[in-house]
Amino acid sequence: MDIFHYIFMQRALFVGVLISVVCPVISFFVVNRKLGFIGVGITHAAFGGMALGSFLGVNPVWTSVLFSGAAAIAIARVSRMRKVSEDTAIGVMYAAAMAIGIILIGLKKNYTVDLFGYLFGNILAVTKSDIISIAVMGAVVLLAVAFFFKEFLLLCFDEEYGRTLGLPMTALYYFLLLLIALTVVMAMKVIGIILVSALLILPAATAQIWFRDFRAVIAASIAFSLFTVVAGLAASYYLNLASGATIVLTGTIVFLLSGLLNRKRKPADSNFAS
Amino acid sequence: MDGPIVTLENVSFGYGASPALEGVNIHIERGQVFGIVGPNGGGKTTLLKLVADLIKPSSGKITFNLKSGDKNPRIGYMPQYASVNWSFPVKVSDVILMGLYGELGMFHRPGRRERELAHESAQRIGIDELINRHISELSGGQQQRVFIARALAAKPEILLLDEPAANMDAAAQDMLYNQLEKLRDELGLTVLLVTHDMGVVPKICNQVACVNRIVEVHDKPENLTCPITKDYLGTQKEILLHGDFPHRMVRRDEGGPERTGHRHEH
Repeated sequence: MDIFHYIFMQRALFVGVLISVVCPVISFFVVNRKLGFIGVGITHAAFGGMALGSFLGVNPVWTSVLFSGAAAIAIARVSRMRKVSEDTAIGVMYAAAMAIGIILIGLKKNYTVDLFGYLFGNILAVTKSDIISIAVMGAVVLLAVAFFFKEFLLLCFDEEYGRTLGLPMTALYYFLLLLIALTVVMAMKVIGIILVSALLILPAATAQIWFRDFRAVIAASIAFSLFTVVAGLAASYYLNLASGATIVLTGTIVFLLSGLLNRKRKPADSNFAS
Repeated sequence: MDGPIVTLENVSFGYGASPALEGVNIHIERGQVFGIVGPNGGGKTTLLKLVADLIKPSSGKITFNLKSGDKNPRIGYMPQYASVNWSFPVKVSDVILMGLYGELGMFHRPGRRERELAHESAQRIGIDELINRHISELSGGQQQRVFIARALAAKPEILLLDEPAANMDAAAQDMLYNQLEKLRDELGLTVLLVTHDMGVVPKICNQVACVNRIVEVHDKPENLTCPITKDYLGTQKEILLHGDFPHRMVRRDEGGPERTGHRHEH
């Protein structure tokens, strides 16, 4: 394809493929542990972290990792204390993180960060150093999932049973949230803070319409994600549309089509008991 | 080995300020089915969780007399249905393998040995033909047997079952209780069984604990009258039958007597 003769498109394709491998793997746990709304909270907290980095003059990627990671742990801690519900904790936390971000950006007179790019994503503005940080974060996430895969399976399927086996389920839950935070920051420059939560949900949600074994679901999530990112990227180039938004809409269309084509299949939830 | 396999000495536990169990003294003998009955909210599941080491007693002591010497994973636990994510994309074989995760430890993946153990456990419970099915495709009775196979995979000495017959029809319940008796008699397994089914207590339990914040243990489940669960026992729909008669009945004034059918499911 001649669009990939351009260096910026080659870079875009490369990070797109990286994200297409990492996001679906995390998406599998987000969907099955029902962490979609926490994912939204974490993405908005990343905005506060980005603004903090810009305010302090340090790389916003790393402040975003710290900020969204801390927000994820705080949401989980508060909701596990059961004084407030999880959705209340998320609602309070992500609005506060966004507010902090807006105030910090307002305080800094000449900010150099591409705010619009972070909010809505700009895969075409990816730099060499972005590629390195995305690759490092992606490798950390994939390695961590490989090491703790069976424990994460149990966390999603039957957390209480994991406790009876003596496994540290609460620590594993927090660790999974940190990996979600890392994935969000990894993808936020490409897809945008506002839209990145879609990549935490769509790949596995689409794959689970078709498959019922976790190995097949993860493999299909990656395939759906690769198709979505490459097709979305090509469409954004030829139609001159925002890249992050086009990728997310492509993924949404694949999800809706999957649902329509596979309408007759009973959702797994409804097969319970007899 | 001599002596009780589990001993609870003056054990108490509370959720916040309200006590769930007070001053519990129990000696559970090896190779027995130990029934736990009582009203909802009376502390049955709390008692099971204490033995499973899921919660720690606020006072008192729980001691184990296990052949392995180590408490985990020599206790197989089957929690109530509520904690399971039924839409999770997992096959029966993978669910049974989960019973070996504690023994495997962190960072280790299940290998051939674990798959063989899981298959052996499935065969023992009679669900080996189901191992490639998705967990949500099974009937309630089959799902419960999968979780028993999971609890048995690590070859425990004690099996803790929290209302295993919930969501089962009468035929599946009979099959389950026969299997529990077989596990006790053939493997010498000690089974702690939380149940609301008063028909099964005299049939398979060697001892029974009536639990309603305090606990009273009865050595003769067939003559179960107990002051602490009197109201509860009095309102049970099913009549307690004595002896070896294997079927459960309902009261005449509620449409009976009616023998439950012996339709084998699936």
